[in-house]
Amino acid sequence: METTAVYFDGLRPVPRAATLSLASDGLMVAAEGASPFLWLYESIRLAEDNVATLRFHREQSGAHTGEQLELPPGDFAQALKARCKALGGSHIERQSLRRKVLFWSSAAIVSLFLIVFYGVPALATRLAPLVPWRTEVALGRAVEGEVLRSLTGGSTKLCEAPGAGKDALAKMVSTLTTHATLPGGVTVRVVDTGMQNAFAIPGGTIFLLRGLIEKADSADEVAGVLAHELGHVANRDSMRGIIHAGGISFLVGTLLGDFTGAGAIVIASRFLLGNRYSRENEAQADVFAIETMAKAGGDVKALGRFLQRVAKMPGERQIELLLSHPVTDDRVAEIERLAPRGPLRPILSPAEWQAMKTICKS
Amino acid sequence: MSETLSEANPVVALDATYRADEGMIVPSATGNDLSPLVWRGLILTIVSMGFYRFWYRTDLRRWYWRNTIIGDQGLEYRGTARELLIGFLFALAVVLPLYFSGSLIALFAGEALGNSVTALSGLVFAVLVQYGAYRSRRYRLTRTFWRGVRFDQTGSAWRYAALSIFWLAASVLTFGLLFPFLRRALERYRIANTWFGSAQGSFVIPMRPLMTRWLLIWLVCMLGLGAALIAFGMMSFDMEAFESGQAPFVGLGAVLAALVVPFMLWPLYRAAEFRAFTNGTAIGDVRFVSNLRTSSYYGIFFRFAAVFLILFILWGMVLATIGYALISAGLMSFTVSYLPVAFIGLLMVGYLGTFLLFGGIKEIVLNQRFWRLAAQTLTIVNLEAADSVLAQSVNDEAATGEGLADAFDFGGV
Repeated sequence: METTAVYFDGLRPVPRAATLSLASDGLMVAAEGASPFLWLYESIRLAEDNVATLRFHREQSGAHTGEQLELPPGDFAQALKARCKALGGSHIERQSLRRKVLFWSSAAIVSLFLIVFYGVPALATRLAPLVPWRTEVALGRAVEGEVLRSLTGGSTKLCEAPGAGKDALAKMVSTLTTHATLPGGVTVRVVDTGMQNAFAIPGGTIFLLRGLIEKADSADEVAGVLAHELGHVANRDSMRGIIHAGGISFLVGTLLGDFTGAGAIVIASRFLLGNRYSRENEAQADVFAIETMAKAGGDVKALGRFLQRVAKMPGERQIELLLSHPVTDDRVAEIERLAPRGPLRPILSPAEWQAMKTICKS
Repeated sequence: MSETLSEANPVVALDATYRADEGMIVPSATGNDLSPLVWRGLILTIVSMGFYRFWYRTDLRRWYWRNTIIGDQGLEYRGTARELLIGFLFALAVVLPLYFSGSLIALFAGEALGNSVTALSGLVFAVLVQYGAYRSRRYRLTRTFWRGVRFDQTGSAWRYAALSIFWLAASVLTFGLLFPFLRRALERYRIANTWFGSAQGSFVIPMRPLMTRWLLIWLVCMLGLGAALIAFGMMSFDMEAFESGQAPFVGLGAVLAALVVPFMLWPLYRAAEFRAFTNGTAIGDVRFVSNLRTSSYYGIFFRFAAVFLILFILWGMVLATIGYALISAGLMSFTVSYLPVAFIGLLMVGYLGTFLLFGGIKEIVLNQRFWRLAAQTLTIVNLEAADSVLAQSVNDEAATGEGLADAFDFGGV
């Protein structure tokens, strides 16, 4: 059996016609301008199969010699391939490796999901209390300006002028904080915006938005909301949130790289997870709010009433509060159930409450 | 897009050494269609959360190299996916600490210092990107063979990065006027450090014809930008006219023009640049002449845009139908607080589908067409000179292959 092929010696890029024949222990190559020589079958490698031109290389002690033969697929090539036992050399990708990659990366997806759903939240809960309070305060300072700007679009006005309103707020805060165990000092700041919301940022700063104070019917409703936010501070939810979000971004953004768009799956699941995660956090903050309000002698049901009323309010305004504080009937029922019964001591006097309502007008 | 030809596809732009008259596409036993390879590769890449991309990219390169016929022989790509994977892991070791220290410092340093840290890390990343691009090109060249002889790239990736930063600064300071000089400086460095065996690359081009064309494009863009700025200024001063609905059409039109015009004019420059760069390139005594026509170059863009748009609209209709069916079946109801699971699922499917669609169309209708066009309009002069080339020993220990380039996601093909 004989065929013709093109031979390259690996030293010069010059094609040479060659006649090939199959000997017992190797391929006999008779290239023009050289005496015939033998390629041992075990030293022959095939770069790629199923292509128009087959390229055979010769390897010696694991290294490429640079020599190569090019011939079309056909009977001779088939016969040659059948005789070579190690066609796939060190430079050729084996199919088994490809399958291994596919298997293990699928396995990696499963473990990634487990980490995202269970590992990172657990880690955040354990790690957050270990972060020093002053670190959290520094973090809070770093983000405070940005948060305010995002609220009011640049011209942020804080309602901090000295006066009766400020004193009333200070009284409410100190009444609540003396009955709560907190990791550090708390600052409550009223922002002059019509949005109805309240939230805590890292480091114990709570922003109370004017719209919420105006919407409330009593001081106890505002105090309930404030106690709820104090619950977030006490549980270090901001820190947990940062570790949680950071951990997931780390996994998605850098470890895997969102090269494929597959990271979208993780982002979406994080979204779903975030819903559940924040629901748990809100419930815990509610429990804290109820305990604190009870100790302070306030009306523990005020928070529940307020949330319910806001939820039933028509229009778009309600959404701001609801987005960060999802209200469910369960939650209100839970507040009602946990509320202890006893005589009430108003958190603020009617005059103080009036002053607080106009805190931004002084 | 700017790098599609010269960097992403070194065969065509830099080492394109085939004779147009002999044709470059060989019929092969399994057919010569790129599509199955692309679709399979992209789907497996999604399924494997990205890890398959190293294999996909390697398959893709083998295909392009194999089908690039010079004289009678196709190029051979001998890189492996394993090398790409290892390179990626190496790069992560460098990029991750940088990424983290950068963002930590920026977070704790306070506003003023934080901004300068952010700017500095931007510069560091710009340098690393260029460094990575040069290393990546070296990797591809050292794995490219023709007639049993290997290509190589010398030169320093750091010097290349410095060169790009210098010219980038010059371009920015002149509002883009010196941009062609940036392109020339980088291409010259790349080509002058390219080797085929013992034959070294050389690169000499006259700047005048290129600059003439660039100046025209640049002026048009500047005029558009100026008009947009003036219109924008009018809009913000004349809010009444804006609200009554008279100004916005003029203003938005101008802003749109300022954005769209440069984009539309880019191929005009790029085609001229491609011809100039190709004609200025020599490897040893082998020279190249490109007859790429600007209109054919535009044709590929428009074709790509049309195909993608049509498929994208069809895909959107499919998604809308599914969404409508889910809502009618009561499986997807919107409440205030939570987005329904089915909706998020649909979003995911939509996103992945679009990714797949775009990736596939881009490879098949854009990259492949560019490669064909560039090859078919290329003539090789004095190919016989290649016969006197001697193979050189090449240090291919660069296991970190395309590491950095890959970590920044511009490895391309």
